[in-house]
Amino acid sequence: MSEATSTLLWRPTGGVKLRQVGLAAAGFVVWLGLWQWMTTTGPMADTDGLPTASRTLSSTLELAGSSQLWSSLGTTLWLVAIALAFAVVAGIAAGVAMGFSPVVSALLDPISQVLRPIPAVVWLPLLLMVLGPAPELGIAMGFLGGVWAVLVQAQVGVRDIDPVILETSRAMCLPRRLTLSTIVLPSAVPYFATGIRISAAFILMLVIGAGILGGAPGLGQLILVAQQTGDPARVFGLVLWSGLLGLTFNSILTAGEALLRQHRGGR
Amino acid sequence: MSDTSQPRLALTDLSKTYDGSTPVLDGISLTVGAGEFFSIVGPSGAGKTTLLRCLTGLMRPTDGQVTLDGIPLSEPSPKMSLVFQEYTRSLMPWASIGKNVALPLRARGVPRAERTSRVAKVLAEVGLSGVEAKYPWQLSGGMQQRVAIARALVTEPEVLVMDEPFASVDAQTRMDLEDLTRRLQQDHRMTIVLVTHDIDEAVYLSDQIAVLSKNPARLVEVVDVPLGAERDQIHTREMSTFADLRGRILRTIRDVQTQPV
Amino acid sequence: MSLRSRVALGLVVPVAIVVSYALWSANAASPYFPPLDVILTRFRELWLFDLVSSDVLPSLKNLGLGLLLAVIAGIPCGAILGRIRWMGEMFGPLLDFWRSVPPIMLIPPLVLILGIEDSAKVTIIAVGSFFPVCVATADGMRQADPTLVDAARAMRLGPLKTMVDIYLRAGSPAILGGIQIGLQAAFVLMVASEMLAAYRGIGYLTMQAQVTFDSVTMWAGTLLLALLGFTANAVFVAIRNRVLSWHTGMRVSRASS
Repeated sequence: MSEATSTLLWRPTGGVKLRQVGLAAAGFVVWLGLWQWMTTTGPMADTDGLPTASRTLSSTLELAGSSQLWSSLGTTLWLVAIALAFAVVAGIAAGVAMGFSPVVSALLDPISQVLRPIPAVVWLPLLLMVLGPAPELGIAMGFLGGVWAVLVQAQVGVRDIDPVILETSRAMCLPRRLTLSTIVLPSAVPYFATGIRISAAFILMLVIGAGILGGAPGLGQLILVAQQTGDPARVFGLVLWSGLLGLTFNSILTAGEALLRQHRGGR
Repeated sequence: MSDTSQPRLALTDLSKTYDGSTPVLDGISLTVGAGEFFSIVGPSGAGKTTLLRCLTGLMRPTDGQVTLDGIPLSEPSPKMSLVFQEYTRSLMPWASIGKNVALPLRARGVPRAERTSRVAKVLAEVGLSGVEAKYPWQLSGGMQQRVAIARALVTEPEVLVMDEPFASVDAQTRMDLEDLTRRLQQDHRMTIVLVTHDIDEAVYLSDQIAVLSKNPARLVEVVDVPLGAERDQIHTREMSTFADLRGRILRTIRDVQTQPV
Repeated sequence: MSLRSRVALGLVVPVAIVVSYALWSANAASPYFPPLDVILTRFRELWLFDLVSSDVLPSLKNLGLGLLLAVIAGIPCGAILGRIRWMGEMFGPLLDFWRSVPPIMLIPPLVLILGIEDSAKVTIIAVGSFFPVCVATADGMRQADPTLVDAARAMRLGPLKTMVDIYLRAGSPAILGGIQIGLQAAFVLMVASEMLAAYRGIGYLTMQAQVTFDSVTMWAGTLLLALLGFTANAVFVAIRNRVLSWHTGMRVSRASS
C-alpha cells in the first residue's frame, strides 16, 4: 500500500492559471476527439460494444437527469461512510495499541502482515455466501480493504513520535493514560488523516466492486445491470460517472488532509 | 604548454537577466590563461552561481559570449569538467563509486576495460584507491568530494570549474582538499576556475583573483597573486604578501557592499 | 522483548483462530463453514496439482503478461508526461480522471468490447495497471536532483542516457511503488474478471462454487487466492528491496549522520 494511491498528478503551483486550465481541457478534447474518430471513420468503427464518444457523452448527460443514478451514488457513498467509520475506529484502535504496546504489537503484527497484502476481492465469494447481495456485502468488503491503511498509519504515527517529547512526559511523571490522550494521540493526528485518505479511496473502489461482482446496491450494481442488458453507451456513461465520483472524492480527501496538516503544522 | 597569446577561457561582455527582473550579471569581461588557477570572489548573493552556469555552458547568457580556446561555447564542452558544492547531490546514490567516476567516460563511449583502468588511476590520484565497489553514502563528506573531483578529472579536462567545492566539509578536510586541488593543477597543468566566497582560500590557491560587485554583478578588479608555484598551508598564509592581498580584497568587497547602488 | 516471546505471542492469534474454527465447525455443522480438514482435503484434491495447468497457470500468465504490458507502456508515457511540461499539463488531468475510475469498473465495458477470452483478460489487466505505473513514473521524474542533472549535462551525457541513468534511476523508488500498486490492481482484475465473466480460472471456479452452494470448494478456492495474493506481493517486495538496496542504505546512513 503506498501513499501514491490517491494524491493527484495535477498539482498546479502558485494558483491555477488560465493556460493550465486550457491545456487540461485540450487534453480531454483530444481524447474525446480521438475516440469519436476511431469509432466513426477510424479503425474501430462499428465495433460491437464500443459506443461513439458522442453517444457516450449524451448517455452520460442523460444519466445526470436520472434519479436512479443519484440514488445509486447516494447508496454507494452511504455504504462507504459506514465502512469507513468501522475501518477508522478499528484501524486506529488496533494501530495505536500496536504502536504503543510491544505486547499488542507482537500479538497482532504477524497476522496483520499476512492479511494486509491479500487483496480484499479474494474474500468476496465467502462474504457473498454469508451475507448475500445486500448492503452489508459492500460494507464488509470496504472494511476489509480499507482498515489496513488506517492501521498502518496509526501504528507509524505513534511510533514516530519525537522521543524527546515522550521523555519529557516521563520526566513529568504523567500516567500512561494521560500520556496517550495528551501527547500520543494528538501528535499522530496527521498520520490518521493520511490513513483515512488512503483508506477511503480503497473503500470506494471496493464498495463499487462489491456491487459489480456480488450485486450489492449502489453504482456497481447499476453498471452490472447495464452490462447484462447490453447497453454499451450506458455502461460507458456509468464508467465516466464513477471516474468523476472518484476524482471529486479524492480531491476532497486530499484537500482535507492538506488543510489539517497545514493547520497542525505537521509534516 | 599551449599558445599563451590566446587565452584558454574568455568572457566578453557577459550579461544575464532573468525574464522581467533586474540584471544579475552586467557586462563581465575577463580572460583566463592556460594553466592558470583563477578564482572568482564576491559578496554573497553576487550571482556567482549564475556566472558559473553561464561560463560552463549550462545556461545561455542574455548578452555577450564565452569562448574556450577561441571557440564560442553554447553548451557544456568536453574539454571542461565541473565540481559542485553539494557532493551528496551531484553523485548518483544508486551507483557504486566506480560507476560514478566512469559515467563521463561512458558518455564518450570509452570501452569498458579502459574505463576500469582509468577510474582506478584517477581514484589513486585523489588518494582513494580501492573504493570502486563502495557507494557514495558509505563514504565521509571529504571522501565524497574527492570522488567528485576524480569524476571531473577522469576525462583529462583542460579546464576544471569548481563551485564552492570545499564549503560543505570540515576545516581539516578542507585544507587537505585545497592542497590536493593545487597539486593536481600543477601535475596536469590544468586551468582551474574556482568560485568561492572564502577570500583566504582564493588567495591561498590562486594565481589570479577576480572580484565581483553585487546587484548586478560587475567585475571590480582582477588581482594578481605573486605567491609562487609552491604553496604551504602554514608558510604561505604567514607571508606578508598573503596578508596584504587578503586585506586588499576584503576591503574592496566591503566598499562595493556599502556603496549605494 | 526477546525474539522467542515475540514469536510465541505472534502465534497466539492465528492458533486461536484455527482452533476455535475447528472446534466450532465440527459442532455447528453449518453448511457455510465446513470443517477445516474437509477444506484442506479439497484444497489438495483441486489445487495439488490437478487444476494447476488448466485453471491456475493460464490466470497467472494473464496476470504477468498484462502487468508487463502496463509497465512497458506506462514507464515511457509517464516519463513523457513528467519531463515535457506541456504534455504533463495537457494529459495529467485526463490521467488523474482515468486513475480515479475504480479498476473493477473497467471490466464491464471491456468485456462488452473484447469478450471473455484470455486476450481480453490480458487487456483488462494491462489497462487497469497502466494508470498507477504511468502516474508513479511521471511523479518519479521530479525526484532527480537538479545538481545531478547539471552534472550529467556538464558530462555531456546524451538525452537517452540521462533519462535512463539519471531520471529513471532517481525515480525508481516511486516507479517501483507504482508497479506494486499496479500489481495489486492486476491481481484484483485477474480475480474479478474471472468471477464476472469467464469459463475457467480460480476466480471462476470459486465463484461457481459459491453460486452452487459448494462451500467446501469455495473455501478451498478462497484459500488459494489468498495464498497467491500474499505470495505475489511478497515476491515483488523481495525484488524491490534488492533493486532499491542503495535507497535503503542511503536513508539509513543519512538518518544516522
